[in-house]
Amino acid sequence: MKTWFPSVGLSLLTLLTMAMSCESTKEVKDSFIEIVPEATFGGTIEGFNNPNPINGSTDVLISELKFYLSKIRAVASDDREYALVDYCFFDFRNPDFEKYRVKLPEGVNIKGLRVNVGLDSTQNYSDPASFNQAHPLSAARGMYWTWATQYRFLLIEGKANQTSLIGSSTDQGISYHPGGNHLYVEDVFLPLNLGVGNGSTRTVMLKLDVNQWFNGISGTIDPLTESNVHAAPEDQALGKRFIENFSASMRLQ
Amino acid sequence: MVSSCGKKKEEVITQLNEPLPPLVFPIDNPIWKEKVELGKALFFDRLLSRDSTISCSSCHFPQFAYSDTIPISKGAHGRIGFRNAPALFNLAWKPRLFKDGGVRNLELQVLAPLLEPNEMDFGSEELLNRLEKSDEYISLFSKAFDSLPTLKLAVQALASFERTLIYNESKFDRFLRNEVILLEEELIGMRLFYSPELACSSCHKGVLFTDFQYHDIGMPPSEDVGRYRVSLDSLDKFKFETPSLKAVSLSAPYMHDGSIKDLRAVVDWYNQAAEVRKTKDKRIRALNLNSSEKDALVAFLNCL
Repeated sequence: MKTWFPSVGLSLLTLLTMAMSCESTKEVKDSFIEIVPEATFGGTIEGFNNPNPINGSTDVLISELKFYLSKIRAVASDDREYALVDYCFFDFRNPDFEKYRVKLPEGVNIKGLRVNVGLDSTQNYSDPASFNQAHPLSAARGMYWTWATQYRFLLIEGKANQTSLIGSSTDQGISYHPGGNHLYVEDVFLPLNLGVGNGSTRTVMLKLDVNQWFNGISGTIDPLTESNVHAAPEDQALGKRFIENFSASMRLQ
Repeated sequence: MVSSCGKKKEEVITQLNEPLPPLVFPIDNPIWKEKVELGKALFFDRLLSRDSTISCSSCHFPQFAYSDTIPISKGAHGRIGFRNAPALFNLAWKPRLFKDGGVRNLELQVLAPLLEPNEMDFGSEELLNRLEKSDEYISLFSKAFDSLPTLKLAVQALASFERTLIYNESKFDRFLRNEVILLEEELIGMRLFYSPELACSSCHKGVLFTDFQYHDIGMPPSEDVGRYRVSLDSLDKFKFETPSLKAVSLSAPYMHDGSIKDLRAVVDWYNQAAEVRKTKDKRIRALNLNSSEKDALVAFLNCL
């Protein structure tokens, strides 16, 4: 004779336990930030595709702006760090890469983000053909140096000229494409009091001050005479100054 | 037979005659016949360039050891390339690609001319669009991979085809297999080639006639800084990979820039003292060969 009674009792107990645990679980909504980069001149004036002065005698116009950030971490008020995302890509001309949404850690009081500029050596070693076309590391992003099998970290193009002359035949094309593991900039702290996530998505502007690219923490760059950074060995010193200036030009708002 | 995606694929024969070592394929890109056939179709198709004017074979002619006959090849829109198009034989054994070693495997190498503005000038998205609209390629990808075209699979197929470009039937190969004998002049050239005085074989060594290392042989300085571009170490300035000499008689012109038109001129160049500079390989010095010795050396090189 089968004894079914104990198993029914066990099932009822299980159901009761599940019901109790459901009742005691609070629904927690995830919190996000949406990082939206914005190029400015001096922090306010629109800096993409507009000619603006970078010093008393030179104007620049930025027409192409793409870059990688990696190892993005939330920094808590107690200085603990929480990894948010391995890497993200921004492209001012591609609506698919104009912003990046990232989930925040639960219940953490966040005082800012810490980021690296560029890709770490593992990410930089990726095979761009192995990703689908929409992927940040795909060859379709136009950031891969095929001959060196690594990525450009920044791709900034445009033109420069003396004050008020942009658009004339004397324009100097500018093209800054620093990349390579040696130009990876680590641990840039971007303060912004995000507090504790409240279950919503907050938009955070990542301001890039174009003025500081040319007159920044690592020195002055004259776009009329120092107009190109590519992979050539002799470009590396300028590339380092440029990417350091770029990294220091970032602010969260 | 090998299996992929549930369907049987026909194996490619990889057993080679001596003296070449066994072929080893990458774990993530094993070889089978349908994949090689797709790669071959892509290699010879002008569809792969933005303006549909050139294919891989436009600069890598099969009859010239898959090299070009001009110093610097022209790419899409008539744009001029950067270096002399190399021969493509025996790439399966190369640890790194490009004359400066900037590319770490054949799959990644294949991408370079496709995306390079001065070569095929193609974005990966445009390439895929073309392949996806082609009934022929949809069929070839299906046979090779049971898949629609993707960039990754196109690259794997091209690399697989290039790995099958093997040259192992030169007169010297057959001489090593005791199938033929060398003429007296060729034997004299061989002795010179392997002599410690000339030391040709200290870099052009082994059955593939290369050490796969980078050397500055004293070519006139130019904008092309060679390995320095990749390593950023100034000691690598003007260093280029030792080219294999297999089928070397077919791949004129020579040197990284295609600046020397034939083998006799190459030997003449080595015969005189080359430029002296800090990065130049110490083994490169004037050979001081007489005319008949130069002829003999060229005769031997023609056997490779």
